[in-house]
Amino acid sequence: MINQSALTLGNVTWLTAAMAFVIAPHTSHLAWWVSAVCVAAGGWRWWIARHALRTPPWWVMALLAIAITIGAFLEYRRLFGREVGVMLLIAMLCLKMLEMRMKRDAMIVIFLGFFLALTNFLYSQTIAMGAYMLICVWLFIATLIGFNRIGTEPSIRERLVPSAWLLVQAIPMMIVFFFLFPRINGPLWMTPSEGAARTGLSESMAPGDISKLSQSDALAFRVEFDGPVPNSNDLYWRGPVLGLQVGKGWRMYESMPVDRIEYTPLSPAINYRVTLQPHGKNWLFALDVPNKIPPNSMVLPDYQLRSREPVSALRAYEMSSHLNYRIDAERSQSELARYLQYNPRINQRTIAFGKQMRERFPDPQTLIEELMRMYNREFTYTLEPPPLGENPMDEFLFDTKLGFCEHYAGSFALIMRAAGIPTRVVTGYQGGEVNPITRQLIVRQAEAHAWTEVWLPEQGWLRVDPTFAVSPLRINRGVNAALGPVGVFDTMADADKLGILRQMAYTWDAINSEWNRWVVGFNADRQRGLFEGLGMPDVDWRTLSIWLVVGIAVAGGGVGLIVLALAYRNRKPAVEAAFEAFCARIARQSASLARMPYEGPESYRQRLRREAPELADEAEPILFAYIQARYANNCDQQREANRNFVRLARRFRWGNFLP
Amino acid sequence: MGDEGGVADRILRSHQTILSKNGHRFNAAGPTTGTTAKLHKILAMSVMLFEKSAAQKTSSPARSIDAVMTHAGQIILGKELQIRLSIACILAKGHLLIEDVPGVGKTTLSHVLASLFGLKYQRIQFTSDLLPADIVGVSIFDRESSTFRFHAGPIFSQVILADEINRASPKAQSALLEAMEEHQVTADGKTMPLPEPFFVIATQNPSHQIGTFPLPESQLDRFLMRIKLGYPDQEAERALLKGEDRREMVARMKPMMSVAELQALQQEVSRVHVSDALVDYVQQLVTYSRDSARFEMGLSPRAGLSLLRSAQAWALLSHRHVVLPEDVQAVAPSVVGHRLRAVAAGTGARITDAADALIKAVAIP
Repeated sequence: MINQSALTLGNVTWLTAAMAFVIAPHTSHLAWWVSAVCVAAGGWRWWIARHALRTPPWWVMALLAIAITIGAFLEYRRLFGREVGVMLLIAMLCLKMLEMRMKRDAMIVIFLGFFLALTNFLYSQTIAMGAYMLICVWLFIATLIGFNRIGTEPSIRERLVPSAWLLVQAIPMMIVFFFLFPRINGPLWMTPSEGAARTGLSESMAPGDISKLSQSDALAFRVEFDGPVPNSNDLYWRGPVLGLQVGKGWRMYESMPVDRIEYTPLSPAINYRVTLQPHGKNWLFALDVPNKIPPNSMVLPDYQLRSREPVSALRAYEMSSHLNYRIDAERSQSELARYLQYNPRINQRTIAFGKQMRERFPDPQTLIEELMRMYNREFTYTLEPPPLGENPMDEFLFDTKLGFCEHYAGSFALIMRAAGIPTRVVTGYQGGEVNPITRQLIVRQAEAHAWTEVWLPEQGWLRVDPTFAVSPLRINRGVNAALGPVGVFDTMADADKLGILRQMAYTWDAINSEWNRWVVGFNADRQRGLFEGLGMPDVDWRTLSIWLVVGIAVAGGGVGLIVLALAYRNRKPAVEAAFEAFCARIARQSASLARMPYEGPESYRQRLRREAPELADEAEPILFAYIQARYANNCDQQREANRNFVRLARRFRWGNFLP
Repeated sequence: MGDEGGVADRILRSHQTILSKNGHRFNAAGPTTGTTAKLHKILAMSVMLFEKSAAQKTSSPARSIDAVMTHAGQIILGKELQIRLSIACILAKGHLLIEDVPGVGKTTLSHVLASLFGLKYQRIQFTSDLLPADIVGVSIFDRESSTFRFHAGPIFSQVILADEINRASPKAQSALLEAMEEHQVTADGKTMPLPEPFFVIATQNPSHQIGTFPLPESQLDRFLMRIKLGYPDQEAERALLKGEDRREMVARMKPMMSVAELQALQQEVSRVHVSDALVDYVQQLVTYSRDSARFEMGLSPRAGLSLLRSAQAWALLSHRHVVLPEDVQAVAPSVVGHRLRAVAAGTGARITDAADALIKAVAIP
């Protein structure tokens, strides 16, 4: 009936294990019942192999497939998209395992297994995942070896060593594909993610929003400066600018992007490279104030950089900024009326306070200094301020006097607007940590910050950071320093007096940074840059494809030559090689006629005569000649005997004998 | 092996086909020039391989060996393979151990073998109180000559039928040991040679039976082969039940061969050709048994030698003058089975299990 010979217990065990291995990382985002289905299907398949049972009938499979599809729809409310697609692939592949009856079915499962390994990259592109997927591929190749072996089952060693060798042979091809395969912008696996990316910043700010963020030491972006890293109190990374005061908080103005960045630089530009972690929004970050627009992005009139698409994959861009500048100095105050607007119905004490302060200090410069002095004298920096009620700024300014950047920026901006001075809130990140190994600046989500910009005639927009007045340490040395030893990361720092852990963390960060930059971040721009470096500007996908074909030919040919050379060095004597080729020829006719490794020539001849008499007529003389050459006492005629056999076997091999 | 009869014929025919396909005409008188001449020479060689054996078939020792097999087969019904193995064992000058439950014809087989080869035999029934002296013999004081005179024990015989050898104490068993290996015995400080040829055909009950002393490995290793008889099949059993008494048949049996003929055959066995490729195969079997974790203990060099010698005898029994890997495989279960112990094999493991695993694991080079 059906040839089940390939689906031995050993082979099925390997296949099940490889599948489990490749599915394992998915379980973190799969619905629990999908994981349960996978485990059940795998276990069931293994049980079938263990006890040589029948596979389930087609109607059971059909019912299961329908049930899973309905389940998927109920779970995700759709049947297209990344999440549900991966889920269906996994579940159906597990069902397919239950349906395996022939070697061919197992081959399909294995090749889909390779594809499944790829889907893991949709969720994670770290080094660890790369290594894990490599092991997945290794396991699947080892499984393939078992399915393609005729006769005895290979041992673990016989599976793992040749498959590792195959992987090694694939390395040149992998490199060629990596560098030469035409890239679309962004990694291939970039699809709109469903709520996966996170950032601490948002398009609106109300007291309490950013405090959650400060707890997270997740990476926001890395920066590599061409020169020395600027001082910490210059490291203001400009993000969303909130110019609209509504309700209790601040929002962004909707404004049209502009083509060019125009301002008067007062210091030389500093150049650096930002590698931004995906955060799912359009914001790009740059030091105050950026002087160029990265590719595929735009700039708003308030100097915020926006990407054209949400940053859902690692994004690297070259930037340059001037740390001293004069912006919009020549404008009139009427042009900036929108930055004077506020909601007069709440926070009335604050508004009154602002107006009153302006009367006392008509000069804006003095007014700012006076306010700073007030913040410094009466306020305390904390990440856990008491909750605020209906008039949050009033309560903060006159009662609690406890808060963090958001409170200071928000209250200061409101006072200034009440005092008739154009003001806006700028959010972003402040500071960062220098990795001493890579000299890169690491900016974490904990470094999220809010500050203000105030417009003064003839001076334009000036950065005023009231948090600095309250807690200069926050700006000079970061969140941890400002909060004292009870802060977020100090537990680790305390335990790590010698700094070994910190050193290891820096090293790991350095490795990750290189990985992100050179592997994950190798996008179309980098690819173009590579070709420009090689003196070939403006390569398009056609040129790339040609180079790809050339590369494949060179890599494949090179590996092929090396493998052939190794085989030539370890080649067998002509008689043995010819016999092997002869047996292989028969095995191609029919797998069941293949010679077992332990089957002697005489018993093989007899079996052929029994099982395939028409083939035996042709094969017998060759087997006789083999016995003669190999086992008989040929005295001085050994060479003739060998030649006789080799000649006969070769002719057979080239198909002279078979119809 | 089966169909050797037509082999020479078939080779001739198939070579003829090849030659005619390639434009050569097969010329019985022999071609004269070039490649055709070479091909013809090779063809002649191939045929020789099998024709030689065909010639042997008609020579008298070979004919008598067939007769031995036929006659033994008439008494021990349905056990052709075991008979063939035990004859191969004798041709290879090895000692034979027959193991099985009582009553399946172990003793009868050993009697049959001894009588058919025309050898003088002695039977020793091993019991738990058997003493070494009962085997080797004792010196008794002779009053007339006032000296000790040695009374030879049953061991001074061409064939020793050691019945139920594992019933005796280890001490008595070991008395047989020296005799088997050295072909000599020592009593009262005097070393005496044993007659030639000298065989021990021992029978034993499976070691799990009551009142047995299992043979130690060292002693097992001295037996070239261990075979199991097993129950006869339906048909053979029926013939056995209806037929006449086996004991009487044995008693009536005439030798089929003289001692000289047997020795000539044994000589012939050692001349059966062993090619380098075959030695490679035997070596790989031995090496695998030593390296693999499947076996508790690897095969000794003696085991390798035994394997080769038995394979030579087996080839000769197939009227072939060339040892093929198949010969090694055919004798391996009997030669290797009692020398190998598969790891974690339970008490009920069959004799052939370890040997079978070994054969299946090693590819023929």
